[in-house]
Amino acid sequence: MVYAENVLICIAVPLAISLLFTKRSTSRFIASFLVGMIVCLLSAYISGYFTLSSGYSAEDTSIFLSPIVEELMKFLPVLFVYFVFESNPQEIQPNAIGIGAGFATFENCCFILSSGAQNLAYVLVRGSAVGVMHLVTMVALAMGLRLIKNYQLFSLAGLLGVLSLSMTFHGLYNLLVSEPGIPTYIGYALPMVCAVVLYLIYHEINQQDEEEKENKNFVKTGE
Amino acid sequence: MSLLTIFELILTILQVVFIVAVIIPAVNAMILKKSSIISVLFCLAMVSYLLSDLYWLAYDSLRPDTRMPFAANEFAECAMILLLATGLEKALPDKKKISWEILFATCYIGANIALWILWSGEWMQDTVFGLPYIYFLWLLVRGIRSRNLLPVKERAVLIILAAVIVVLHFMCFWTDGMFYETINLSNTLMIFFVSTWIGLRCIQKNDMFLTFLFFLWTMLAMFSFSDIFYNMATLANTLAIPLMYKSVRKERVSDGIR
Repeated sequence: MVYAENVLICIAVPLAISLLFTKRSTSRFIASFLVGMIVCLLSAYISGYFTLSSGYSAEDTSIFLSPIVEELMKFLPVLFVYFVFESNPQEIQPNAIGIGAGFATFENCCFILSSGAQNLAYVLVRGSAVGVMHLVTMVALAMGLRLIKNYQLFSLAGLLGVLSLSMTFHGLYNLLVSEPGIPTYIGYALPMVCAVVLYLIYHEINQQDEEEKENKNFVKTGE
Repeated sequence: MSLLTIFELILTILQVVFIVAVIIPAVNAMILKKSSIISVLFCLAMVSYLLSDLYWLAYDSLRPDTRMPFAANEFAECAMILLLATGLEKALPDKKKISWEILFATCYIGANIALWILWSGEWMQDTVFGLPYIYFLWLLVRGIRSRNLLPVKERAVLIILAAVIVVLHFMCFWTDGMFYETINLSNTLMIFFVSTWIGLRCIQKNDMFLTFLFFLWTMLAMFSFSDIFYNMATLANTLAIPLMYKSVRKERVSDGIR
C-alpha cells in the first residue's frame, strides 16, 4: 500500500517553499510541476472510481480508460493557463512541460515505492518510457495549441483534435506495454522515437520563425 | 487469429501507408508555412486517423477476435470528423441554412446511431461520438448544393437510396431465413453501388465536398459490416484518402484560403 497523499506532501513542500525564492519563469515551471503531481493524484482517484463503477478489470481500466482520464486532467490546467492568463502559445510550452514532468515524476515515485527499485535496468526503462511519454504528450499538446492559434482555429474541433492526439498516443503506449514480449519493447521505444521526431519538428519550426524574423528586420532596415 | 483478422490487419497497414504518404507532404508544407487552413486541418485530421489506425492495429494483433471496448481511439475518430468539418466550414461558399438539410442530416445520422446501438449495445458512446457525424453530413449536403456538384435529380436518388439502405438495415432485425438473406444481400449490393457511384463522381469532379462525402459513406459502410464486406469497405475508405488529399490540394491552389 502506497500512501500517495503523504508522498505528494513530502515532495511538494520543498518545491512550494522554493516558489518564494525564484524568479517568474522558474517559479512558473515549479508551479506547473506541482500542478502536474496533484493532477496525477486526482487522475488516480478518478481511474480508481471508474474501475469500481465500470465493471472493467484494473488492467483494462489502465489500458482503456486511464489514458483518457490522465490526458484530460493534464489538459485542463493548460487550458486554464491559456484562457485565464491569456498566455501566448509559446509561453504555454514550459507550463505544459512542467505539468507533464510533474505527472511523470509523481507516477514513477509511487510506482517505485510500491514495486521496489532494486532493478536498475527496469527503473531506467520505466523512467525513459513512461516519464518521456507524459512529456511527449504534453509537448505535442503545446505544439498543437501553438499551431491552432497560429491558424486561428481555436475552436472545439481544434482543441478536441489536439487532445485526442495525446489521448490516443497514451492509449497506444498503455496497450503495447500491457502485453509482454515484442509489443512491450515497441511500447517502451515509442516515446523516445516520438520525442526525437517532435524535437526535429520543433527545431525546424523555430528555425523557420527566426528566418522569418530576420527577413522582416532586413526589410525594415532596408526601408 | 482468424484469416479474416489477418486480412483486416493487412488492410489497416495499407491504410496506414496511405495516411503517412498524405501526412508527410502536408507536414512539410506546414513547416515551410506554405499550407492553408484547410490543409492544416486536413493534416491534423489525418494524424488523428493514423493514431486511431495504429491503435486498431495494436489491438487486433494483441487481442485478436475480441471486441474492442470503449477506448481512446474513439476520441481520435471523433476529432478527425470535427477537424474535417471545420475545414469544410471554412470552404463553404454559401452560409445559407436550409431547414430540410439540417433535418435530413439529423434523421439520417440519428437512424445510423440507432443502428449502431442496436448492433453493439453501447448506447452512451455511440450517441456521444455519433453527434459530430450529423454536423459533418450537414456541411457536406450544404456544400454539394451550394457548389452545384451534383444535379438535383442525382442528389434526390442518392438520398432515397441512402434512406432505403437504413430502412433495410432495420428490417434485418425483424426478419429471418430466406427473407433476411435477400434483404441483407440487396442492402450490401446497394451500399457498394452507392460507394462506386460517389467514388466515380469524386474522380470526375475532384471536389473536397464530394471526396469527403465518399470518405463518410465508406466509414458508414464499415460500421455496417463485420465480415469480408467490412474489409471491402475499408479498402474503399483507404482509396478515399488520396482522393481527399488531391481535392484539398486543389482547394488550396484555387482559393488560396489562408
